[in-house]
Amino acid sequence: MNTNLPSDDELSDLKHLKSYSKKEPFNAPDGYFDTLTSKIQDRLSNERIILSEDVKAKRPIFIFATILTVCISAGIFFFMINANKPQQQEVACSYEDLIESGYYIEMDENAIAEKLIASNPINSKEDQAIEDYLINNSDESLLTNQF
Amino acid sequence: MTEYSDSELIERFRNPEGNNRHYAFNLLVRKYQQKLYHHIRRIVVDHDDANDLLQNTLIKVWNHLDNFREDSQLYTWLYRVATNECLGFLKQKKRRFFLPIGDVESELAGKLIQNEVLSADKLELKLQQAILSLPEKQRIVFNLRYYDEMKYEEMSLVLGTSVGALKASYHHAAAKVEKFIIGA
Repeated sequence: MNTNLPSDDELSDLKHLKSYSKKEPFNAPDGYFDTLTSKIQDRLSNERIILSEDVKAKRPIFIFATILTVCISAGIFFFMINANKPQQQEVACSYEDLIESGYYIEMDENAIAEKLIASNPINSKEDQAIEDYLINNSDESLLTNQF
Repeated sequence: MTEYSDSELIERFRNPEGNNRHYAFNLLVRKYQQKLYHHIRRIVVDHDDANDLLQNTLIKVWNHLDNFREDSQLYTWLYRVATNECLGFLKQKKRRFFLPIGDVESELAGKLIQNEVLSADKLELKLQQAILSLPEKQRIVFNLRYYDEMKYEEMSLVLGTSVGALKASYHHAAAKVEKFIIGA
């Protein structure tokens, strides 16, 4: 440490402070510094013992926590896999596979319409009268504009 | 006893052979214990607190000396560890007892009066009361400059503050101390 510091210059305009002798204001108890190294060494060895005992005491907790973490992680992993499975199957199936499996039947729309007409023919007299009335009394251009 | 340089002590401490580590650390403690004790004691005033903080500082030094990069001097690093330990202690004290800053300082001032050696020397007691009236960081700057005669560049490494700010802080502190002494 530099002892030739300009502290006196710095304090030149501080007369009262300069008049003080720079001595340590506090004293340590007698023999304090003679025993400090051994106190520190004692604390270091105690801390090592406490640390190792602490690790020993916490070992079952660490093991349990590790197992729990592994179980939870595995659970989440399998849940995620299962959640993704149906989507993957849908994407993987082709129309041919679906038809073969029997869950999907390809139908012709015309065939469905013909079947419907055949099952519900306009054979009642009332229906025929309505149809005739519409054909005979409506203006074709108006109907075209309307629809 | 042979006085080893700081780099020799660090080298011995890091040498895994034999009992070098403990031996080197004991030498390091003997070399710096008084400076560190007085630095800490000036901040916390009470001997028991200073003793605890000095021991905690040295334990931290033991734990971290392997990682100490020698781009700064060992003693500025030791002062930094000790200063941080003291600031942490005072902060904890304020938090634990929900005390405003002024109350902690008045508690420290009370300890000054209880100190037998100081209370016998009225002039010295007045100076210490004046120093204690300073804000915490300004007090540390004043003590490092006035008592330890530390260079501003080194102080900057200890406190992590610019040299200019430290110079200004010291001058303000010295002026306040002077004013306190005249006024008291």
